[in-house]
Amino acid sequence: MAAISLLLGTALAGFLAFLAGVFEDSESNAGSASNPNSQVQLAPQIGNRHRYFNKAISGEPPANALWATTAATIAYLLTAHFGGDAFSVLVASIIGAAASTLLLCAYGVLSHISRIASMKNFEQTLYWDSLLTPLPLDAAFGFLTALMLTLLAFSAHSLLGNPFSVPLLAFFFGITIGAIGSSTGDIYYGAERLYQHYIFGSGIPISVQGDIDVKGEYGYRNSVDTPYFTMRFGGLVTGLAFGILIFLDAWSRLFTFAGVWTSVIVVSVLVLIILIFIYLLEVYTRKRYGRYTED
Amino acid sequence: MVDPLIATIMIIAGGVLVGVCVHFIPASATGAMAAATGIATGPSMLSAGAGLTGIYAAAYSIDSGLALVIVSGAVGSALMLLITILCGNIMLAFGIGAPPVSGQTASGKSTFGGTKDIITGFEQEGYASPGTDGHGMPFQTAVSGGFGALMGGAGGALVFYAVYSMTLPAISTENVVTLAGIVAAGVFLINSVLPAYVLVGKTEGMFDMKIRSMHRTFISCLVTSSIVACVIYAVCELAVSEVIV
Amino acid sequence: MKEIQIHTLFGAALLSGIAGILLIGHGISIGIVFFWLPFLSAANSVRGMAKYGLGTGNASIGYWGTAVGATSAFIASLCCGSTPLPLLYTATVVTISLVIGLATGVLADKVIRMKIPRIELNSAVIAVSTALITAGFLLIIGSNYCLYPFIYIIITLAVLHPYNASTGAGENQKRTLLLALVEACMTTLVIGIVAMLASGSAMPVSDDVAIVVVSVCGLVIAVVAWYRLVKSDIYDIRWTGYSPAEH
Repeated sequence: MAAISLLLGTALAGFLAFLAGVFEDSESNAGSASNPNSQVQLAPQIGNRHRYFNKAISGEPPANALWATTAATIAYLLTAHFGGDAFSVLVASIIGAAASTLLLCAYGVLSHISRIASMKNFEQTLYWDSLLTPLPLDAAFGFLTALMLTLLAFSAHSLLGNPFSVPLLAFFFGITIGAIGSSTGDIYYGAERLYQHYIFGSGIPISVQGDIDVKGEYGYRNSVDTPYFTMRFGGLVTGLAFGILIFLDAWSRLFTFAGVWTSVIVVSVLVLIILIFIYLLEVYTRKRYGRYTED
Repeated sequence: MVDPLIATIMIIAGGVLVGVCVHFIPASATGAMAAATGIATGPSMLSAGAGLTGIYAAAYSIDSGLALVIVSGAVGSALMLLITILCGNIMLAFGIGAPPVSGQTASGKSTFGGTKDIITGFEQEGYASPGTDGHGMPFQTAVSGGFGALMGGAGGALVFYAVYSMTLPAISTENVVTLAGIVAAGVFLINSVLPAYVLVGKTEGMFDMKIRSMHRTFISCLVTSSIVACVIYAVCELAVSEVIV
Repeated sequence: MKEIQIHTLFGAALLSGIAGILLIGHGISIGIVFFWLPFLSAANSVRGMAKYGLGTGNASIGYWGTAVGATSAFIASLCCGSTPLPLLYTATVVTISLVIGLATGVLADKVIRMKIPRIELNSAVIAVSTALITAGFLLIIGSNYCLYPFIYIIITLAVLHPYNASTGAGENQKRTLLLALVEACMTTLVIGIVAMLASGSAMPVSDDVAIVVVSVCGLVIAVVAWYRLVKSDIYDIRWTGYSPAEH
């Protein structure tokens, strides 16, 4: 029985973590949060008045930790009222995630309006539609992130047997997914999507920072288009990173060949394998792209 | 379970490890525009992510003794950091189309001099896009990050285990592990931000000259975590002896 | 425009926070309104530190300061949280967080040599203010350890977000502090709702309902005041359109 619940928990946790990663990256890109936000912030100063949703709850880790912890805390308290079977966990998680989404919307609206208000010198106008069009999209991704992380926390607590309580697990997952999301997915948004008029194949020089694309496929670009672009690659790689992390961590506990030390040995081997992958990738890119050339 | 006095020393050691680990983890906020070498987020944020993963992994083996807790925390943290580096490099290679390159090494300003990767021997000069300070995480910074994460995870797990064994006699509910977890996370967050002052938001790990100002982090974290550890010790002793309750 | 000094705001926040804890300790849950001032004071100090272009983001300052404050309150709740002596608890919490916050600030100034004026004072203010808020929230929600992460993170965001949201050339203290008030009301509202759920009874307890009602009233007033200020500060507000120079 314990083995089955571990197996089931590992599969479920990996799957939920993958989805959470995809949604988290899309959420931060729809709101242009985290590090690329500095570019959206810089744009009006060099004359690029934009129509991006400037959510600016900067520090993705604490922000995501808040959505996940709020959802998980409410769900945790509600399951005590509802009973405690799988169905009540699901319903409680949905209610909790909905509540944390309201908080996300409130913070998002407040920061967009405040940031634009502080842009008076650069003649940036507050367009209501550029706030209200991406907001439901952003909220939807935020809802899904919080829901996935809450369910992940429940499955890590009850199926995988982590001794931490559900809200604390959600807090840890929120911080971790924020750190992973801002360090993988955001590169695609910050260095490719915002700067599509610069050639593919180079980083963005510090001298041109702020010169972001303000026009899109048709008309002015808004933040609804962003997840459509970034989800095809950036979101998936973020999901891959978080999904692999949670999956491998749980998977390493399935074996018992060396007693309590098994999982440590398995993870150490995995760490070495990942290092080899990093090396191979570097060799491949150096061969494929070579030195920087002007063309 | 360990003696409260030893646990106090463990909290101090854990706090210092957490502080020092941030110096080894390559991170830079402008990395998000592929404009600097390092993982694309603030150093303290990233170490918090890695360290808390370590505490999460360590919690599974809380009943199996100190050594296992520390090692689980360390490798859990390293796993998180290396997966992040791998996926960041995948993003850079296939999303941006540039090879990982160390900006400091390319300009000859790394700790060991020269313009080559210390471990792989790859030439760095000429690979960075002009106007940027490198991009991605070349192999030497990945290894440095791995070391940093090992330290950070071990430090977080040390604090976690120490707080757990100190609070267990005071409150004997099943949720004491949660309390230990949140206090360990708190100690981690306090110590991981101090080095960020030294690093000014950007580092390439142990191949960056900023590693030489590590003694400042060391002293600051030593003093801060000593105060925190003494407070935890005093409070737990009071709670155990039930002077006030 | 003349800015409110750190000392003035902190003194008021300290007195108000202690008053809040005493009121809640005696069963008057509406005392939660006295925690709005500590929120303002902490947000003001985050502004004071982040304004000088710190080596680390404003988010790090917020979560670092709250970690000091909240951890002090969590630890202190171990030995004197459940006693009917809120004054002793407050004194413990304030002392611990003041020592840790001040020590870190002095270290950042003397050892790390950050060139930020008043970094030690601002660190201590964030730590003590958040510690007071945490202590008060713990008294309301009760010492269920499972809720500690939630209390920590919700205070963190309310403290770090006001300056973070207002960053820009046209930022001013008055608007940032009003935004801090909006977010403080939002936070107490959520705390009220969670306290309702945590009380365990089928019907909401009237104390918790009172928290929600007071917070909603405060929220409405704060949002109206803040939006009035936004309208006077902003360049232009339109429903839709393009930049004037280009069309």
